[in-house]
Amino acid sequence: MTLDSPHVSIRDVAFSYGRLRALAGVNLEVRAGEVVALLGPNGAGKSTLTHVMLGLLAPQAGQVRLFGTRPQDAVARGQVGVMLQDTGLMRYVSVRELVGLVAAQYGRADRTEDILRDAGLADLGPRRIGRLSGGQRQRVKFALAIAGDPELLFLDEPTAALDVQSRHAFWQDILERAGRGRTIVFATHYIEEAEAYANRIIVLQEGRVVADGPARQIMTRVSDVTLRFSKREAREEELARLPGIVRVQGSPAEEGHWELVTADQDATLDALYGTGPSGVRGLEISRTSLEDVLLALTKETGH
Amino acid sequence: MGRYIRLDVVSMVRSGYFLVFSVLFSAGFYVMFTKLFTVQGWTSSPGFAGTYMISLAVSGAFYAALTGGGIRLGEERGSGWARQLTLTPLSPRRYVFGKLLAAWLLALPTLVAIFLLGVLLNQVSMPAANWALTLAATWGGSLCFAVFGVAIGLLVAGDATQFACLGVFFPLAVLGGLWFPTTAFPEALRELVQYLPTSALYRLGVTAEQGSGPVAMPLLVLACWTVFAGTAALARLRPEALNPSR
Repeated sequence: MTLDSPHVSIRDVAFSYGRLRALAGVNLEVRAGEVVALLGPNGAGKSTLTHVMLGLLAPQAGQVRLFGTRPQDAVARGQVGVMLQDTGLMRYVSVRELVGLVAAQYGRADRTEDILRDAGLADLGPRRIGRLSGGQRQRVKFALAIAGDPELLFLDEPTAALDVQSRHAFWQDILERAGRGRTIVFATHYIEEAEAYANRIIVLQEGRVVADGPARQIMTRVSDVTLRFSKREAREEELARLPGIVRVQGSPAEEGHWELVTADQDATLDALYGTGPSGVRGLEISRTSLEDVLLALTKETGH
Repeated sequence: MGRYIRLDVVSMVRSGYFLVFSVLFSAGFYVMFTKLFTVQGWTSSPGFAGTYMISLAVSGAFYAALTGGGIRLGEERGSGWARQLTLTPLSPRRYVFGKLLAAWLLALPTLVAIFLLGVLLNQVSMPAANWALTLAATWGGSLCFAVFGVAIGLLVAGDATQFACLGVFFPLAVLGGLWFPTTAFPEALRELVQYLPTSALYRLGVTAEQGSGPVAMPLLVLACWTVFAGTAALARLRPEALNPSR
C-alpha cells in the first residue's frame, strides 16, 4: 500500500449469477476526495458492483483493491463505512447504544455524541430503535456509516425516505467530509442529486461502464430536453431538420402528436415557431429523464 | 467485542419473550409438579424436588443457549444487520463467535434462577461443593446447546430460524426427559434417548448433585454433539453467509 494508491481500483471485473451476467468487465479508479455517483437503471449492476467493491461477492474475473489491498483488509482496518439498502437494525436497543456499538468497533466509542449530532440524531439518543420513523431509521444508518469517520464511504440510495430538510443536512455533511479528503461513492436514482453533489458520474448499463467523467461533462450530454406538442401538417423529415434535434418520434396513437428530443432547446423552438403562425399546439417541455439519457449514452457506445 | 456481546445479551433480555421461555416456562413446570400435583407417581419419588430442579434448569438453559445465539444469528443474517456489523472492523468470525459467547452467557442466569427456586420453594439442599459442581457441569455442558444454536442460525435465515430452533428444542427436551421422566417410553427408545445431549447433560447434573453417577458417558455424548454442531457451523461460516438472501 502506497500513499497514492487509489482508494478504489477495479480492473476487468466480471460477475455472473449463474447464467445471468451482472458485471461484464468493469474498470474504474476512484481517488482521495472524489464524490462519485453511480447511476444506472435497475439491473444495471450497481448493486452487484457495490457488493464486489466491499468484498461481499468475489468476482469471477478481474481484481478489486481498496487502498491497494483486498476489500476485506480495508474493512478490517476501519477504512470503510457503509450504508446499504435493506439493512435491518437491532430492535431493543437505543439509538445511542447502537451507534456507540458500531463506533466502538472503530475504536471511537468516545465520539458517539459527535456522530449522533453529525447525523442529525442529537435529540434521539435515548429513543429505542423499534420506535423510529422511516426517515429517522435512515439517519441512524447514516450514523453507522460515518461512525468510524472512514476514508471511504459507500452509500446506496442514501437519501431515500429522507425529507427535504434532512436531505440538505445530509449532503452538507457529505461535502464537508469530501473537503477533508474523504472519498464518497454513492448509488442513486436521483439524477438531480448526482448533478448537484457528485464531482464525477459513472453510468452503468448492462454490467458495463457506459459513461465516466466529471459531472459537468456528463450532464452536458444529458441536458437534452424533450418537447411534446401537436402540429397537424408537420412531416417527420421536416422536424428532423430543425436545429439541435437529436431524435424525432411521432405518436403512434394520435396522428399529429410529436415528441422531439433536442440538445438546443432555444434554437429548436425559434425555428419551430418561426415568425408567423406555427400551428404548434399544447407545447410541453420536459427535461430528459435518466432513462432517456441512458438510451442516448448506450446508443453512442454501441451496446 | 465485549461491548457487542454485552449489548446482545441486554437486548435479548429486554425482548421479553426470551425470559418467558427460558425462565418462566421452567419455573412454571417446577411449581406445578413439585407443589400443585404431587399426589402420587413420578413426582413423589424421593429426591424428586432436587432432580426435577436440575432437569428443568437444563431445559431453561437449553432454550436460552439454543435461541440466544441461533434465533438472533438467523434473524440478523436475514435482516442485513449481520452484514452491516461485519462491514466494520468486527470480522464475520468474531461476530459469530460473539453470538456463541452471548448465548452461552444467557444460559447462566436461567440455571441460577431455577436453582434458587428449588432452594426457596422446596428447600433443596446439598453441600456447597456439590452446588458449585452442579452449576459448573450444567453451565459448561450448555456450551453444546450454544454451538447447536449457532449452527442452526448459520443454516437457516430469517423468521424460519425461530421455527427451526423450536423444532429442535421441543423434541430434544421431551425425548431427553427434561419435562417428564422417560420411564413411560418403550425400552428401545429409552436406550436411544440416552445419546441425546439433553439427556446427557441432565444425567451429568444429577451426578454432580448426588456426588456419584455416570460421568464419562454423558461427557462423551455432549462432546460428540458439540463437535458435530461445531463442524456444521464452521462449514457454513463463510463471509458471504452473513449476506441476506444468500
